[in-house]
Amino acid sequence: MDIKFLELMADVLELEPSELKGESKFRELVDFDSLCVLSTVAIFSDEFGKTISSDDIKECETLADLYSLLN
Amino acid sequence: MLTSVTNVLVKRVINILGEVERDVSDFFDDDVSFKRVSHVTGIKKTTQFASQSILEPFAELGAKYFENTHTKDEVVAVVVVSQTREKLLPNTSIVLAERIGLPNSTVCIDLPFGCSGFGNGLYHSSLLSKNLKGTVLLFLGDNITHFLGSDNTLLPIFGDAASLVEICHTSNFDEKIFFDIFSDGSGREDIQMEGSIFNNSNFKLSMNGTNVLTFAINQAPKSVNRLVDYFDIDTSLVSGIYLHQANKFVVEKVSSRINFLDKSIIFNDCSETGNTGPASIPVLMERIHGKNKLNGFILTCGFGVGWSVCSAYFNVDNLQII
Repeated sequence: MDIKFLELMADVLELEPSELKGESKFRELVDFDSLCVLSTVAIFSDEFGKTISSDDIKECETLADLYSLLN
Repeated sequence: MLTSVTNVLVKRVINILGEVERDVSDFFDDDVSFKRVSHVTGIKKTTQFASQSILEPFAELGAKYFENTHTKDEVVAVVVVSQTREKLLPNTSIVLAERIGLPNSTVCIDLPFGCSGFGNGLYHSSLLSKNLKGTVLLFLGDNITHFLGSDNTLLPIFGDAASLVEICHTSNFDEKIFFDIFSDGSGREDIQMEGSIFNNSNFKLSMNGTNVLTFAINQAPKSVNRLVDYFDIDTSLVSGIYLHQANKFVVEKVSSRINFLDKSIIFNDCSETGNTGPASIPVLMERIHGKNKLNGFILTCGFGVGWSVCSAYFNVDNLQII
């Protein structure tokens, strides 16, 4: 998994990158609320040029699932 | 649609904020949640009109305008841009025109645009001003806080404000306003006023924040960039860029995609008002400049419910904020 992606998601989750792995279930780590969803959407757009929706995020359980949205 | 209207200029702006100031922290159960949201939105206070009728602040603006100008004879039209009009019928503009003492010959139009309302209102007002060769009073504003219900996710974001923008006719062909207008009905469910006039139900604003963000960061910058490119605008002449103040986060994202090297002229401040819908651009102008004259050329971009985006470029050497 791209280290840049992990670092950006660590920022969203307000955790250290070292605490995160691909199989991390992000909703169990923090209260993944609407602000987290917005920040994730913005990251995908700003950093990776990819448009995703809240429905796309709803389908994801782990960080690896989120990362797969890039493809 | 890229277009321009000649022989018109924007002369005065008058703003009124809601009388009741509300601390956004009061909408949260704990300080941590408040600080987290406020850090992202940039909003610390919102304002609320005491009256549930948007007609009252509009009438107050009209009275202020005539105190300052004494030009009732030159007013040919009243345009009201509001999502919370007095009633579905009659048109608020007709009632308002009578209320502020304008003659029966006044052309009156209601345009229920939301956050793209400044540009769309300016466009239609410019056409009227040019065709009728007179002054158009453009009233913009919502008392949206009265339509949020108890949905706490929206209460910290929206505020009430009203603005009056004076658009005048001039014989100078070089005075013109340039527009980019974009409409996309696929966003119809992402911001809407739920409820129906047919079953007399209560109206309540609902919003899909994620889809709004995606729309805004994609379409708003494209509109501004399209306007600049199509009309070959000399960006060195632009003294300010005024975006609809949805919230700090959205404005930052939109700003980053606008093709201007000097980002410092893209203003971002709704900290004391919240998102004031169609009035947010003139309210921002006063927030940044005070009750002063502006100069140079400015770009504006309103974006929101619809989806609708309207960008405008015009000279403000004659513009006075009262």
